[in-house]
Amino acid sequence: MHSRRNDWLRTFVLVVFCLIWVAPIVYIVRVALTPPLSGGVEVETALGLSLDNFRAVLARPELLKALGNSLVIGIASTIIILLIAIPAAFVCATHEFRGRETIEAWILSTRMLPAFVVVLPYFMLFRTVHLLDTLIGLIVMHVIVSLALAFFMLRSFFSELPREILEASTMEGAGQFRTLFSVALPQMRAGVVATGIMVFIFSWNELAFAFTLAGGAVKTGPVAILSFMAFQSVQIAPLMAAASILVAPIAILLIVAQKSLIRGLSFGAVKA
Amino acid sequence: MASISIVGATKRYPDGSPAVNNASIEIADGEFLVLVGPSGCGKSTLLRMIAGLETMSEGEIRVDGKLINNLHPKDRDIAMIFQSYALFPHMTVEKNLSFGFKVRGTPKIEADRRIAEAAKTLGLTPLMQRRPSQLSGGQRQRVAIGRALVRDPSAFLMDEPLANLDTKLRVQMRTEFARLREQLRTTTIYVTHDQVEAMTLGHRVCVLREGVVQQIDTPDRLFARPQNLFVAAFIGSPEMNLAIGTVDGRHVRLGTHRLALADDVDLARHQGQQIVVGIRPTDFQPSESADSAALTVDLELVERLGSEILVVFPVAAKGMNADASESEPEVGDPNRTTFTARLDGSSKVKGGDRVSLRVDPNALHFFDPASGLAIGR
Repeated sequence: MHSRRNDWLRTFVLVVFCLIWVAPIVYIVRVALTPPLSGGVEVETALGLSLDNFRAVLARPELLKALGNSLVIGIASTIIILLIAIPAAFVCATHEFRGRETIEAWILSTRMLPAFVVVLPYFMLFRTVHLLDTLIGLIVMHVIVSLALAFFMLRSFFSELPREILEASTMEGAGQFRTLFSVALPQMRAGVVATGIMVFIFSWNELAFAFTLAGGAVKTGPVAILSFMAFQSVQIAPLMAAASILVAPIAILLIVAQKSLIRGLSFGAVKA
Repeated sequence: MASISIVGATKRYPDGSPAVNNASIEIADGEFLVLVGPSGCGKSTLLRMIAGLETMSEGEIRVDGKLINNLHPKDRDIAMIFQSYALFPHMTVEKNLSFGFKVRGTPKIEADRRIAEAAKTLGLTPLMQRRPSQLSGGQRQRVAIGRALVRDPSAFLMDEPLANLDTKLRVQMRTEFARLREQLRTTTIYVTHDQVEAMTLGHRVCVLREGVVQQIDTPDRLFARPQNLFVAAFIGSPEMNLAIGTVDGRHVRLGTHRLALADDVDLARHQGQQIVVGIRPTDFQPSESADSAALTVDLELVERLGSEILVVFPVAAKGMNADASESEPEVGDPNRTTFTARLDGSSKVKGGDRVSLRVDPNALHFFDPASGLAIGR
């Protein structure tokens, strides 16, 4: 049944869900836009709009620097992850070999423990190799943490590829790398983009490792906002302005890459 | 061009059951050999073993005497055409055709010349800049053939290349394959489950069943002298009529009918015993007189197909299921089976008629009911 009434119902349900998801973001932005207030007035009830909070926050160089760090860490770890995960996922998705399932189970196991359980051993390890409080240290950590996610996402994209097309490439004389780069990857751009975005967003938002393994000289966006909160615990409006700035790139990224992301995450169910 | 020699090829699944069991086939240089059998008989697996896409558990495959068991598919100089065509969807027709040259580093002038040649042979020239998604099924099929033949490989492997086409196009492409076969004279192994394709295309046909080679022969010999019940029933459409008869001197009794044996048939060893009698629907001729080579039957059903008529009639003998090599539990009377005969379209017979049908004694087939093997000749 595909009646008008069903369409209305569907739209209504979707709108309700969107509102539930969007509400916190609306709240953050709304509070961030309140004019500076004299003490005793609740920000939620304040009237008028003002960019003063954004101005105040952006005037602080440490926030911009932290966002810059997050960008560098996010891009670097995403690139490294894709370079490792693409060949690994390709081989596991398209080849039968002894021990494959064991390897996949181990890769999956890296996602099983909560961050705060493994953070201490990593802290000791990073201290030994002098990676504490460095950009490289956080890049390495984010690669370790997100590799499994990227591997399993890409693996399911690769296993969607028709086996005969890969075999045809082999019969035409192509080796594994040639088949991967000339035949397999061009067919799953959306999947790679979706994986990259997921991994980048994870790195951008990550707090536990960024806070414990760095946070002194090298602060990421979330860590900077956290320290902001401790430092100016009363002033909620500037905090929300900083949070808005942190969320903005992600929101833009999602809107720009929406098509790829939906196609990628629906695992090829939606045809181009 | 090359000869291919397969000796004792065996492929076992992890649970030990064989997909291909001790297959030995010699394919001469330039020969077009068809592997045919019902689905799951191991024909595609055998083809993929030759391609190198499937490992072998036992046996040897040689191309021009050279052992290729452990060679990577790309080093075997064999081209393959897949059932799904397996064209690269993100490349134009031209790029699809040139992919193999690019990978192998063939000089561009040489590659371009051969691509232009293949495109001309297959009528692909106006389609070169299109992508597979912009082509019809038949055009995609041509591109797949083109991709295989541009490289001028020593052999072609074709895995049910016509199975994805509609009936009309399939007949057209079958003719096209026959034309290419004559034009190219390249050693080809062609897999199909369609016995009409097998019979029309193959210089020789290899019938497979449950991973075991049943018979390798020319289409004519396969049709005229099937070596066992399975081949007899599988080859030919409509299927060969099979029923249990009893040897009675120089005759064989089939229910109430008595059929004379041909001079070259020797069933003395089976005197008085039950054997399987096979008669092809095409071997029945309408007869005026009820002589010893004729069956007088009551027609149950008459199907008019224009140029020919299929008539169905009961025979008072036990039926035979070739696939199980034992009596089939028929619905109704177990001592009754239905035969089909193909008559000329001009025949005026109708359902309920009593007619006399002659069978040439030379056209009778006999099989041992226990082993299923052909006997008497």
